[in-house]
Amino acid sequence: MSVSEVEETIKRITGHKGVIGLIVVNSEGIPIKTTLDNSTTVQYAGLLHHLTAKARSVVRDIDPQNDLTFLRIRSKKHEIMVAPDKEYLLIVIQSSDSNLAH
Amino acid sequence: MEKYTNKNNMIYKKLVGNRKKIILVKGEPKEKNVLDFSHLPPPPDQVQLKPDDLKEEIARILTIIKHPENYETVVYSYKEKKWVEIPYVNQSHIYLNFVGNYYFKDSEDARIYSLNKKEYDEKKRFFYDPRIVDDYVDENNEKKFRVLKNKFNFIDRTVQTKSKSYKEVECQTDPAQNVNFSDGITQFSLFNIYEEDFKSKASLKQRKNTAKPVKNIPLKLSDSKQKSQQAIAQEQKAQEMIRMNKSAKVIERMINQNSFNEIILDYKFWDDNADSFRKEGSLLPLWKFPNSLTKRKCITAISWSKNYNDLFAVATGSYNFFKKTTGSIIGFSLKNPSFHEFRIETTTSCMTIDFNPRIPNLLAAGFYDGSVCIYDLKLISIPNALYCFKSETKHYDPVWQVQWQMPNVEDLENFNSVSADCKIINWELKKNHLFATELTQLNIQENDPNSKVEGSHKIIAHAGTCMDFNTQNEDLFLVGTEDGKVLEYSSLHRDKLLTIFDAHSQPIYSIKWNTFYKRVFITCSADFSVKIWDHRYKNPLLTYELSAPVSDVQWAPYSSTVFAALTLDGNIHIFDIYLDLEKPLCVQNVLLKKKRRLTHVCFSPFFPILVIGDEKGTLTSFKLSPNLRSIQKDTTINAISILNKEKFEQDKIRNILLQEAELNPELVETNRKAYKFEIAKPKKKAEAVQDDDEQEEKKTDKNIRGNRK
Repeated sequence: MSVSEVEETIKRITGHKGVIGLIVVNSEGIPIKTTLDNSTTVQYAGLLHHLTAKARSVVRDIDPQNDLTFLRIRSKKHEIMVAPDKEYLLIVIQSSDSNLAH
Repeated sequence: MEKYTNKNNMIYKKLVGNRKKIILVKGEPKEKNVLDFSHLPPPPDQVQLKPDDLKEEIARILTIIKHPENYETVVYSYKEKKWVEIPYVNQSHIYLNFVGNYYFKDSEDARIYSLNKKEYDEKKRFFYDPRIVDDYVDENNEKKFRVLKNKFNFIDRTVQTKSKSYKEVECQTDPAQNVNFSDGITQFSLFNIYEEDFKSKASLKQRKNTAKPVKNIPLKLSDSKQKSQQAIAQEQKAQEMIRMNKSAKVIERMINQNSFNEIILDYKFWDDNADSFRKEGSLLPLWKFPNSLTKRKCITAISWSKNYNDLFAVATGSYNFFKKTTGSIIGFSLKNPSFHEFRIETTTSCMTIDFNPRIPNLLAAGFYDGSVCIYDLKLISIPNALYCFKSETKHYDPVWQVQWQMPNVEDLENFNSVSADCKIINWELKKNHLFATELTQLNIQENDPNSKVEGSHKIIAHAGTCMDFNTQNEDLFLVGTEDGKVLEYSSLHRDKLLTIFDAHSQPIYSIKWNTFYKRVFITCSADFSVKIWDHRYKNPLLTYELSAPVSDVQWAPYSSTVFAALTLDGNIHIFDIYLDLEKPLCVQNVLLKKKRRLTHVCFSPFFPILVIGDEKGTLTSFKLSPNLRSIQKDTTINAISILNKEKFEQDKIRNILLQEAELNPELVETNRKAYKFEIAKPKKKAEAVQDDDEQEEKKTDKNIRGNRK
């Protein structure tokens, strides 16, 4: 995959209907790339980093050959989607409101 | 041991055996100047002894165990290379050497001393200066002297060493830095470590076996050493970005899942309840793939991937002869309706595509300029990789259809293409090159209309527009031509035309064998009709007249009696000849905007979904309602109980067609003779089926004749 393809995908994601923001977090929990403001980003990154690690450990403890593919937290207002990777964490926040989507 | 005491009160022991004993000899018997403690009170725990016992003297004896002496020992000397005698070593050990003023009793000195005792004493007295000698007489009236010592004549020399003064020296270093470290151990972290270990060992082994270095995926920003720091940082960022690709894809699909949530639920769970009250079915529109993705080009072909159930590819181009445009092949996934999975741009418009059922990443495509191409979809994502295998030779006219065949005798993948230049060419993929062999030319011997002589024949080549290969009898295939004829060939005997069907008056747009019963095929044409044939009979068994030129027709993959037909006025007609022989089960107008013609329809082999493409590049997917999916009339019989679905389907359609044949005996004109002759090696299964059918045919023939009579 070339760089531009990934960047294009990320652009499409951020431009999709209902998507509020996108954060890329590295393995230490430090946000590298974000479309939200600083304080929100730091908050999301710190909290979700721990949660993903915990979720991953749950999955792998039950069966070490298994691994976490993605994590979704749906709340009244938003849906937080986390796609973990070996070194990175991709977080996208989308509005839960079904009127917006479509 | 014997004890003796003599008159002098000396005690000595006799030597017994080998034991040596030390005997302390007193020079002279003295009065025992024993300190008298008898005035002191005895301690309370003292043992009370008798006076005789008190005087008893108890001697302490030191004994030595004497080691046996070795006399005349010899030892081998390596220096002199012979046995050498060890010189005798005196075995006596001196345990105690005490210089004192005692003489051994039996020695000479003792004897001399005892004789001349008085003289010695006298001599002793004269040794000292008389001034310092003091004579006195003690109690026994004996003369004795003592030496008076004064500080002037006698020196006491004392020596005392210096006392060392102690000094305390201390040294203290800075405390070592402490770092608090804590970690949790889990089952999977151990698993990870083991995995990495295995991988590293495996890679070591590989490196030992092969000397080739591992290739890195080349980046667009190449590595030149003169780059500035910024550029290097950018490069690093770029590399980081690439690794995020998988997560980005997953996230995109997730987002799409959210926004198209209702559609997904519909697709999975919606079954039109109204269908239970009526005979007809309906199509529920699902995802729409916007035409911005296809760049508003006409969709010329749709093909579903045989291995991945959500992937389908679409060929775009133009049917307009005068306006030659570029084309593209675009792949979509149902999981992501907002963007394509892959996109291949082509210089000429692509007319047809086909996925290879055995190798899921190969895609064959035919183009408007007559060339064909194979694309390897795996290599598209890798930059600078060649993913297109183009042919050197090509057709002279647009290629209308390509279709993959089973691997041939040499086990090479091959496919066939039919083109308007009246040829069918078989292409083999050999070592990344395509090799063409002409399969057949569509020549038909016809009565020459121009000739004046009756009965003269002329061979006229017909342009093929579509074809289909029989998967049961792999050598049989059908070709539809521009002037409405259907030609049946056998690939074993090339150039040998088996049958000609005068099917339609207009070009045939699509021809397809039935998915289960391999004697039946369907054709559709611009002359508004759809016809169902049995390849043994010259006349169609069923004909349907529709309202507009039929652009595409396809059998459903799940049933032998269902097919869908697309007409250019924007309607889709779905028939199930098992349920209703004359009317379509569903006629639905699927146009979004007017004046757009529908071009192609494709059933999904996995789901009850249809995809329809139109002239302007819009793709819409539809879900078939339950009525259209039903397999048998009597819904109380559970479909799962049908063990052999194929047989069931075959029976279904055969029965219908036999009924038809029965009803219209004049249509039945068999070509069976020709058919039997041409088939060289029928398969056993087919044979069995054929035999069955033949028997049934005989029966029906008899019936027909019987009826006639």
